[in-house]
Amino acid sequence: MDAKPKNEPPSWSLWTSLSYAMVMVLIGIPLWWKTTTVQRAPLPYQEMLMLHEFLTNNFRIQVDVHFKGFSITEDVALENTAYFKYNFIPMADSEKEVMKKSKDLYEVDKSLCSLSPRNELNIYYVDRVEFRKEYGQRIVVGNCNSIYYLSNSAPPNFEIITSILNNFKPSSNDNSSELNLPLSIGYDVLLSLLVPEPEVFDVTWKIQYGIKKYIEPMLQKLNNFAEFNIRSQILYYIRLNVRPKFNKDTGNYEVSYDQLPIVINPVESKLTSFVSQNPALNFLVYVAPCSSSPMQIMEEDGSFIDSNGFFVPQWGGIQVYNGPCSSSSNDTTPHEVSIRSIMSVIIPQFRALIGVPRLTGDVAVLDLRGSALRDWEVDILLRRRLEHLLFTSANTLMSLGNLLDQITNIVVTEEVGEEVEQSVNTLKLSYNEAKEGNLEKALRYAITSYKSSEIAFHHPSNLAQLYFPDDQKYAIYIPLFLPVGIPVLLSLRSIFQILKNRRKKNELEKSKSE
Amino acid sequence: MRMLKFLIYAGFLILASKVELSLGIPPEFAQSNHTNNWAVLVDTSRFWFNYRHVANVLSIYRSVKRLGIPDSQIILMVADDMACNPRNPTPATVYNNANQNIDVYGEDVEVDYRGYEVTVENFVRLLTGRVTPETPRSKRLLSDGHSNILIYMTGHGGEGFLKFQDSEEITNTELADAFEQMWQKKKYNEIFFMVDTCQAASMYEKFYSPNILAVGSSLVGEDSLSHHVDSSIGVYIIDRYTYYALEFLEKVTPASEKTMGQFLEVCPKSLCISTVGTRKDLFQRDSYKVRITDFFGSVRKVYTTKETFDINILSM
Repeated sequence: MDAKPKNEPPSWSLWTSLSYAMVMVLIGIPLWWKTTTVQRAPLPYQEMLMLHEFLTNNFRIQVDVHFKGFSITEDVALENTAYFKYNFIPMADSEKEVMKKSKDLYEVDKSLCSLSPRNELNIYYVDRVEFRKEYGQRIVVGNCNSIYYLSNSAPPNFEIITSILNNFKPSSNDNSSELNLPLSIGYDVLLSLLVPEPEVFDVTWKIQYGIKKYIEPMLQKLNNFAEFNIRSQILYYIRLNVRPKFNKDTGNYEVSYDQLPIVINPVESKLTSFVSQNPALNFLVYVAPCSSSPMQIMEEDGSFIDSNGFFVPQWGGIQVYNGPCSSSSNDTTPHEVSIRSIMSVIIPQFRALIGVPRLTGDVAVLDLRGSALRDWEVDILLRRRLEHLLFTSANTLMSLGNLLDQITNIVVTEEVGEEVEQSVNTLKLSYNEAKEGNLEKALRYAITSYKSSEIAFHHPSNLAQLYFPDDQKYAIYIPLFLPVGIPVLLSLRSIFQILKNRRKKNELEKSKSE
Repeated sequence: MRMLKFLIYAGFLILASKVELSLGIPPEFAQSNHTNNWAVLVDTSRFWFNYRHVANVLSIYRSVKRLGIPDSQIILMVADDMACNPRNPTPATVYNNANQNIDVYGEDVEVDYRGYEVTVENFVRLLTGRVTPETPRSKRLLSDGHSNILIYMTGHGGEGFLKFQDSEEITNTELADAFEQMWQKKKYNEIFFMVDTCQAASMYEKFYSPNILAVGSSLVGEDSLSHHVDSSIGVYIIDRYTYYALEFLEKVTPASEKTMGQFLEVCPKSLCISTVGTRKDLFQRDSYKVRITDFFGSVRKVYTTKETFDINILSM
């Protein structure tokens, strides 16, 4: 029997140190790793970072352009561009009837309006020379989706038509202009009547009727553009920050143009919602106090402004209403503000604020009939909005992707992961729908994509764990692992020694027995 | 003879000063792209002996409100309550001058983040928009790509950090990253960053996002000093830089033509003792051509409504 060498530890200590090492390596380290990694749901980083560039290079909203009634002579080679898909079709009999029998272009337009679907443009060849004489222009745009090419028996000039068509596609500068609403899913419209001296004469307004009759039809047309919430209020004893000067010649109290930029400051505190986070559109009707009535706002050049109103981009519009100050009757019935007259200013202000486009080029536009918004104007707004939504969404995703990629400390929750997935998917769906020309569907997807990207970006969990830099990590873990780790490592060393000795012993015994 | 000489000399001086005046008015202002103004005013220190920081931030608050920015667009963060402090000899008031002319606390002050709510986390959440869903509207910064934001911070600072509540710090890199996040999401058009602390210039050193104009009350290595003591209150009640900045702002009206460039010259070393530092390289416009109300007030761009709408056409 070989005597055990003195420095060899007892065999049970072999097993104990081995079991320590096993527990540490197999259970301890994985457990520590699992519990200290930052939870990060998987995100499609590649897609997030590439989407913006992809959209910049490839995004198009297709519009079908139907040329109706043009006789296709020679080689009219109108190539489809990325934006417009051209096709030539003959006019239907009903349309021909309308063209022949109408006495002016308005009648033509009204009859044809009922036949035109959205996101399409119909260019009609109008073979009535008297119309051409009346309008003087070759191209007149109607109130729905029709454009009229007024012929004078010369062959049609397609170059002019295509250059006018450029107005109907969104351009990159559109969305940064201040004459646009800030991007949002919803807007709060607030109509306020300011009565500074209710004791002199009391004022009311039938605003619910006014909203229903005049504002709601406009907002109906903008269904796909955004959600509008309307409220109204009357504010008493509030004066605007104006210093009108009496003009003997006109008998008016005149407010000069340079006072206008700071007019609304004292009122603003009464106009904001304390609940809603949507951007607001304010329309103020200021009943001029009798001490400065009739009040007139002046243009920059000193001329009268007929509407007696002005608007502030991205904020709203104001108008001055001159009440019956001179009547000295003891009638205590309140004066009712003329809804028609205030709407005649609010409507153009609203049109200007939402950024209704103006056409450039050699083209005339028929006066508005039947509605305060033309169909093609709404279509252009919708196209701009679609582009704005998609590009903003892609930008948000790219910026979020960069942030989460670079700072590995930030937790990415399941919720953020899901929202990002949804945003990326709906963005792609929207892009595809836009390429086919399905504006409504594309907008619906775009709105979902935008909402999801905003939720993901602004999720409260996206804050870097501020106080956990690398050197502090070492400072925390070393005192935990080292006191346990060093004895385990050292005992491992003695285990190896034992195993080595055993192997040597076995070899010796083998060689002995041979 | 001497009288004549004197008269000529005096006349010349008067003429010269008139010429000086007319040259001082800026010819044209660089057009601004903003449509609304926001202000984020932060005081980060606690304890009674830091009374002056509360007075600083409330004075700027008053100026900004007077020049037209509504409370709904001002986020005021005050880390401690001086007005209702048991040591305040005149409760419910805060003064910024020993003559006690103006009570900057007033009756209509709206503090959005008070006391322990003023933390680095809340500040960064406010700037980046990553607030918790239950945060009320008045505690959110709802600015957009057309907003000019004034950010004023005061308290105790050091090289590269600003102390919050005497227990944590915000570093200049964190602040720069927060601004970059704001830029990425187009939450501002231009930012004017004012900081009145010791070694203030270190706070704007690390900015790398465009359209930021910054001013600090002292350079790295210098301390910002306070102005004077109010013996009835017993502590320093305002800092030098803010005192002289206010002197400038008191003369500004909403229609004023004073420029940011002139504002940046406020408080020369002789008055402030520390050197006022500025950072203009990230700002695209020439600060001498920028109205002071572009940041401190709320001057709107206005378009007249040239045509009325004929209501009758709606029934055609």
